[in-house]
Amino acid sequence: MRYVARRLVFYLAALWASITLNFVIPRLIPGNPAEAIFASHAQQMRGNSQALHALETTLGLSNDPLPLQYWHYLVNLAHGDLGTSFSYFPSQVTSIIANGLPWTIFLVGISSIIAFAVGVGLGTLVAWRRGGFLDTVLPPITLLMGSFPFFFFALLLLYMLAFQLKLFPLNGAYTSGTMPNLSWTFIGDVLAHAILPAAAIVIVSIGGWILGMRNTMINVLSEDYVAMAEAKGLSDRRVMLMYAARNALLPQITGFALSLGYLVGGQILIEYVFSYPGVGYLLATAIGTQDYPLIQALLLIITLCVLLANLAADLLYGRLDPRVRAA
Amino acid sequence: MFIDRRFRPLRFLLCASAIVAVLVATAPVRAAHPRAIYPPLRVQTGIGSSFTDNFNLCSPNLYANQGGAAYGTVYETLYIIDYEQYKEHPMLATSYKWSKDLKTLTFTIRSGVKWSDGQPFTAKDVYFTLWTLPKTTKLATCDPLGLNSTHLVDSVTMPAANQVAIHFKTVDSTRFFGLVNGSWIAPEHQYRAHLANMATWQDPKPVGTGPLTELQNFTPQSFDLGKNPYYWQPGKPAIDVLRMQSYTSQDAANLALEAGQSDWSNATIPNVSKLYDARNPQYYHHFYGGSLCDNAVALLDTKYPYSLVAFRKALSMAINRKALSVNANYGFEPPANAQGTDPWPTWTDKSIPQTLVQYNPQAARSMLKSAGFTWQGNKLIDPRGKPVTMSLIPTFYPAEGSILAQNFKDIGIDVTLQNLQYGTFYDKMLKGQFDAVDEWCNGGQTPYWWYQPMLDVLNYAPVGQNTANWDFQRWHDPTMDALFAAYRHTIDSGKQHQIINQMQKIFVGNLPVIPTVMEIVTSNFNTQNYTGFPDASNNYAYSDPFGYPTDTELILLNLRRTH
Repeated sequence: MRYVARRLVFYLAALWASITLNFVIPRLIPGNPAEAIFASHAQQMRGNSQALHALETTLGLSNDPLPLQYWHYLVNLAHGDLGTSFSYFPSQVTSIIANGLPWTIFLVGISSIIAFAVGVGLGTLVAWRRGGFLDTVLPPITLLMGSFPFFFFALLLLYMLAFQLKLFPLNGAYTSGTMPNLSWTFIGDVLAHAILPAAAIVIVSIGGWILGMRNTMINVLSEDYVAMAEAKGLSDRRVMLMYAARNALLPQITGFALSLGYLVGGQILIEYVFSYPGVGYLLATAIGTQDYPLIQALLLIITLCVLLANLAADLLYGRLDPRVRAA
Repeated sequence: MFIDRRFRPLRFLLCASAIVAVLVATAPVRAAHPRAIYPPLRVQTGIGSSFTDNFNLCSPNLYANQGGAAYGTVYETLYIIDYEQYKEHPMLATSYKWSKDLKTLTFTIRSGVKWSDGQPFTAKDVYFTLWTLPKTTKLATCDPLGLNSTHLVDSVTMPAANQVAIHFKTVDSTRFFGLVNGSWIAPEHQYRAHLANMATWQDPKPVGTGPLTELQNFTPQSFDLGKNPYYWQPGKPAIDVLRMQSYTSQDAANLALEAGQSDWSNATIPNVSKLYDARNPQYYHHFYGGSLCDNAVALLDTKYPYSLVAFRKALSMAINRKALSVNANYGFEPPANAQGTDPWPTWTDKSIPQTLVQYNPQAARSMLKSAGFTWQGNKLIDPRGKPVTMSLIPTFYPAEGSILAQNFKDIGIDVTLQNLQYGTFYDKMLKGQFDAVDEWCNGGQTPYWWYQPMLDVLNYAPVGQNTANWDFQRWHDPTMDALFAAYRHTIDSGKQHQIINQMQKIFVGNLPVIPTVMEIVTSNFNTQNYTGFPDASNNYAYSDPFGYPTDTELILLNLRRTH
């Protein structure tokens, strides 16, 4: 119990620190959000500095002293009011994020789970038949795929499979012109649009899981209890999965919980290349247009997720591995 | 346990059915899509941002948040003056008249027009939009007359039931152009209820007089605008549905265009004939032409030695405009003429010699020598004995920036390139915190619209404060200012031509900014379903979709179906 309480206090302190940094950092960006809004406007709006000034007033860009702004910020945060966006004025920040966050969680979440499951499975096999064909071929290939320039690889996939061979859709999360609904056709449409981006993520990240699992497995395989299980006459399959992999899985699960925290950071390159809606590219454009409320909200969400994931990993490991609790 | 041999058939069944389910579910996507009655016109706009369904005319982001697509489709203006031929097209007004003292402009409003919800459109809506709305809300975003910013209008009246008159405080006949093209008329019966909270009111159900007002299928990636059932031009538009598409990057947008998923885009595709047209020569076309305005290198003319006319002229002769055109702009943008009047051939004084825009580093060096410059080795030294340095901001044109830097280095100037983000460099330009900047430009009806925002002393602000308009270089001349005032006091075309000719001579004599290349308009279009886009033989409007929404409306109304 003291263990849990200690961890909680630590994470609360980290949360406060990140909320404060979250407030300070966007305000260090040089320039003026109102000028940045003009960047996407037609020629007739450029060069009109009176309109610029009027825009600044409309947006309510505050000239209050910083501590006062900070106090307002904390109060609003406590009420769940993440503010009104500048670049999408007067839309609420929460509604803008709600457009992209579910897609990010869906795409990157499913890809991470697939990459983890397949990677860990392959890693187990590769370690079990160490020196065999799989072991010689798989780790180097997946390492190579993982170190490939990701942007280029994604573009290549898109160009070859979607554009030239027309096997997959070119862009978006669903066919443009259709409204999101809960029919099977729509779900199929969403899955079809997700295949290429998911494939890109999986192929690039699977190498890490395979190698990690392989290495831990190799350690575990040299343990006495594995030899004991084999000596007992249990089947290969049973020893590999129930004795070896089950123990080797522990550090991988922690790693997976941690990587889920970064999931919400979004895969900005994926969104850029496949024109997939999500929070990664949203954050990038928000920074470019100095949309303080949006930037703050997104950074806050990312920080929260990372902290939560770390906390979950800490607590989960305590549950899974009795040796940690007893220590 | 689940791994036990007993469960093998179950596991196999589960995996197989999962795979089959995914295949079956995704299969319908590859089959034919259900088609609308007539295929929609699919336009790419709003690259890099997503759409918000807020069509409130007073929203500061109305242009950005729909890629400009609320203007010209839902809302219309009193007149359209297009940016290619500069013809006057009466829209919600049928005629206009200036008073003799050029202080009152009276519009006669078109009758028989209805709003898209069936209510009648009258001159009262125009009065509301031009006067009541900005006066009550004090917002600058729905303020076509500038009541809350430029304060040039005394009052707006209705001399008759179908007329609206604007009474200006001062005489300026040039106001007509910007005024009409920005006079998007709002429905009084809808906006009146929201006057108190106009800045934050989100309008997802727009009401307008325009050709395409029925919002359907709105998502952040795309939305449709259906035909206005009450549109005042009979038989138009030929378009049933206009579909706006947004993408996160220009690359994704170009791929979609080349795969035939879009019908119209403003992408600049290098080697466009091979990369786009050749994919489908029957339907894929491009038009990279037309003219907008001349880009220029602006120098801070208050700073020595940029204040020397001879120095500026020498810099102009050191620039290799052909390299700028071919290497930085794929050959699409032609070199500018010396007086910056390329977009207006009927206004160009052809007697003015063009030596200043011919690439001639030798002539540049001799001019510098006669002005008292010397060289120490390769470094250029000004007449006061100091080496000449230049910090050059390329703004949106990094490729041009490198070429310009090389050209200037070749005559001995120590050039530093400052590659900055939009907000930062625009701030520096406004405040005059630069040596040289590769500026973009503004178009307009005549060369007045290129010269005046730059050179009129009315726009002046000292270095360190924001200039009122395009006066980054801060050069002025009393004769030029008098010419600007004279132009504003006349609507006689002959007099205007004389004035513009004199302006050209003064400009070339002093070269306050250095014209480089002419900006053109790029548009790529697909004529499988619609035809009638502007092209070389008929360049009737600015062909960049929603670049100037007034022009886009002309195009949307001009398109015809092919089958």
